[in-house]
Amino acid sequence: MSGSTVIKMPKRFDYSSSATFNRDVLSALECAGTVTLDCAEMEYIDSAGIGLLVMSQKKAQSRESKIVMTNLLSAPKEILQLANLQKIIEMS
Amino acid sequence: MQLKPLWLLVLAFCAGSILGVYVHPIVGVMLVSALLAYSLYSSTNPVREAGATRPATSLSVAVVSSITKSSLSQTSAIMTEVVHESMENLTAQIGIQTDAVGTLTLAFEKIEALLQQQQQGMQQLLYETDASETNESISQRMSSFAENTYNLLNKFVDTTVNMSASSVELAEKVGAIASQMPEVLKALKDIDQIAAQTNLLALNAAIEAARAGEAGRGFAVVADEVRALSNRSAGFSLEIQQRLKDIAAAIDDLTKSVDEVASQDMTYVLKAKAEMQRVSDKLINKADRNQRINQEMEALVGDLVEALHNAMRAMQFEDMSTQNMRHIIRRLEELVPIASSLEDAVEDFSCLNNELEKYKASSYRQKNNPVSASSVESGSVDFF
Repeated sequence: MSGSTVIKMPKRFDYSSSATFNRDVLSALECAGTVTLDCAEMEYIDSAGIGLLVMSQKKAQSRESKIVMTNLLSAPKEILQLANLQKIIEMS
Repeated sequence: MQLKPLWLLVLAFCAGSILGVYVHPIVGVMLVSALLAYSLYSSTNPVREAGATRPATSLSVAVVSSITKSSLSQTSAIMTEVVHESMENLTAQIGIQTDAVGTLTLAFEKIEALLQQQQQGMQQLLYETDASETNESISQRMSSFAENTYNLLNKFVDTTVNMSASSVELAEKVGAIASQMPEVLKALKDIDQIAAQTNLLALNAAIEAARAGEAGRGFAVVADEVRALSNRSAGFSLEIQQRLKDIAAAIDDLTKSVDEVASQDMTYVLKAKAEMQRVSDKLINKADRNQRINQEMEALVGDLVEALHNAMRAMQFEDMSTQNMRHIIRRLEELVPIASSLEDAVEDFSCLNNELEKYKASSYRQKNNPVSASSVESGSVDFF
């Protein structure tokens, strides 16, 4: 339950990224306590992306891990905050 | 002091007799009467006349008498004129004052009514005081409206997010089902292979049965049946593979649909939410400001009404002023008979004396001014 894995987020985070994202999250949750999502390049996120984040958070919670988002750009950050995602996922 | 009139009387008597005997009877009588008049006059004003009268000769007394008469009648005329003019002016003043105060009172009352009307208008504007409604201000209603809309939008966003998450989960589960497909297909391929091998085996059995001749006839029938069975199993496998391909295509369709459902562009909704929040904040702010301004204005109107009441209260003193002027007129009226009797004083002092006595008798009124206040502040007129 220690250590941390960093997943690099794509430019557009929508349903097309789901397969890669789910695989990455699953493999990261196998071994790490904290999964850090590096959002430095993420410019766009839609509801599917938010859904994927919520789902991955649920998965992490069931494994007693947590998900942290870093380097958020202002536009996607605003969207995530308006969707009240800051309540379930830590953002820094 | 009492000696002087006596001395004058003696002098008048002697001089009158001498003049009456030696010069002319009428001159003697005139001198006597003039001296008598003078002695009477000096008895009423003894101090003032004391020094001047003593050295007067009979001739200068006559001259003084005529001068006194003319100046007295002039004084009488002037006094009468001035007193009458003053009385007329005061009466006119009362009229003007009453008119002005009446107009002012009406104007103030109208201003007060208008102010109340204005205040009611403001109240209606900001509180919508319907009889059925509570005293909830527009600001409060605006706040609750904005809050409700905001909550609704939040719920909508939450629902959308949850739906997306569920859709994505569903797609994942469907993907898990689809991932079993290759294994099933591989199993079917194995079945195909078994069927082909069985077929070959049956063929070999048929050949062996033919070689056995008559003895192998029964075995040949069994070999045929086994071959038929292997063909049927190969056919089933083909059919199942075909169905599985259809299912795979359906799963592909489903995945695409789920993708569409999950992938709602949130930007529009979230932008709307942000805009809503901004506008409602602004509206609440504005409503609050309106209410604050109205409260300030209410206080201002209250002050204004109070000032008006003070002004109206001050105007109640018009009555006091009028009474004061009426009192002055009455006092002036008392002067009129004295002034007119001054003219006759030279001929007949008793007339003037009478008037003076009358005046003195009624002089209690002098202290009987109905108005005692000297300023509006010290007066105690109740406002009603």
